[in-house]
Amino acid sequence: MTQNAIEIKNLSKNFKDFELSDISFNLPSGCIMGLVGENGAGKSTTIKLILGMLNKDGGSVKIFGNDNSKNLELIKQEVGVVTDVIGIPKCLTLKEIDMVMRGTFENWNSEKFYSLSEKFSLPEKKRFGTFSRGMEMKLGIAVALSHNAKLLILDEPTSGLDPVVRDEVVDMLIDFTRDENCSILISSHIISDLEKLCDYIAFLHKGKLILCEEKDVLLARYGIVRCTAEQLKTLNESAIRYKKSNFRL
Amino acid sequence: MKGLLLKDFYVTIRSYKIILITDVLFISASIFFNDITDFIMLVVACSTANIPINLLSDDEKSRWDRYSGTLPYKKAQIVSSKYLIGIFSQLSALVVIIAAHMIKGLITHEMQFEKYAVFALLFFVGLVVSAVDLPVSFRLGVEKGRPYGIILRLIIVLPFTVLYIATWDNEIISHFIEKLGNFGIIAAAVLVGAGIYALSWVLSIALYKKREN
Repeated sequence: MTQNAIEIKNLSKNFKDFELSDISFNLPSGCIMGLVGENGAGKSTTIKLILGMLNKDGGSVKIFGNDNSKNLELIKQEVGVVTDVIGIPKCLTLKEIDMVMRGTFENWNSEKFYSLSEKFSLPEKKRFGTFSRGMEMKLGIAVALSHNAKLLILDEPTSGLDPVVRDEVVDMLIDFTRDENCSILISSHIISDLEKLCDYIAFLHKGKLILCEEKDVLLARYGIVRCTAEQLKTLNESAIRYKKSNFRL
Repeated sequence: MKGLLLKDFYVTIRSYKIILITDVLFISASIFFNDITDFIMLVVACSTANIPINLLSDDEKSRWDRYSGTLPYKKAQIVSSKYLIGIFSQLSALVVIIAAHMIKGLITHEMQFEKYAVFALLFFVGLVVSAVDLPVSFRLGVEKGRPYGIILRLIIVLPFTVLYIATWDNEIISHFIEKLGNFGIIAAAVLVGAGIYALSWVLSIALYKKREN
């Protein structure tokens, strides 16, 4: 039986003005799942709950079959995370970041870190505070890929990257899952990236999981029709799930 | 936890050079101005006491507080790193000052062991200052916690001040203090200081576990 990298059951979290309710999905090992949804849909909250950065109000989260409420720091040794903000102190250089991470991850691979940094053209002697937004994200990705992680959790990892680097990152992520034990959970608004990358798509809307399905099934079942109002009338009403009109030219 | 301590070490060296330089200047001055040595040492202890809080503030500004939540650390380790840095920085300053004064003592043939014990006491005052500020900052964040920290300092200092003024002329207390002797008083104060620091450490861990990033 294939082990799931992530198993989420009835996960919920209540805030004053937002509720994440009854989220359940599994991410099988070796697969990539895309979390999609509008801003405030609950993607980042779900990720934070998986990582134990928020305390859940209900449900359970398992990573590699282990409950995330026990020994999470051991589980995180095998998890690489990139969030929208890379919180590395501004005064550190690559060499110092390498030293800090060597003291953090048991399987830290300095060689890989430097080779990725070189690939991303990250300046070795400049301080992190002088990096551009794109360079910050690249560094975050280099850190996440340099400790032999089996699971990557990425929250908007390609935001702020130019299209060339974005493609490189996407290719790198595809390479990462060539090993059947490695999996990725990625949230992004860039649908073209997700289409290239993902095996599964989970769609969140206002704190609820609307669907979690294989990408190929979604592509087979759903399509986008761009047409005039007259042409729309000729379509079978039952086949239309969502309609958007009054586009401005 | 090695990574956390190393990160704090790099940030301290890079960002708080001014505190370290000021400390060295004050320590050097204390060698030449014998009359105000205790006051100077208190200033050094209090400025060094701010290092853990400044590091915490830096963590918030750089969003390391959030990023560290994604790394393989227990919340207790994140808290402990700041308390260990607090002890390490106070101890380093203490060692430097005692060494400097011992060298002076060797040159002038005037070793003042009682004075060195007073230095130790003053550095425990520094630890107590951190001990008051850190739990509030771990719970609320440094910026939000700052006013509460000031209020808390007043709440803690006020009863001691009142007690000190009220018992200034009390014979029983004077007799008790005399009996304890200078080293006894210092030892008692150091013990109380260490106790407060340990209590603050445990409290900060409990409070930080409840905090969500």
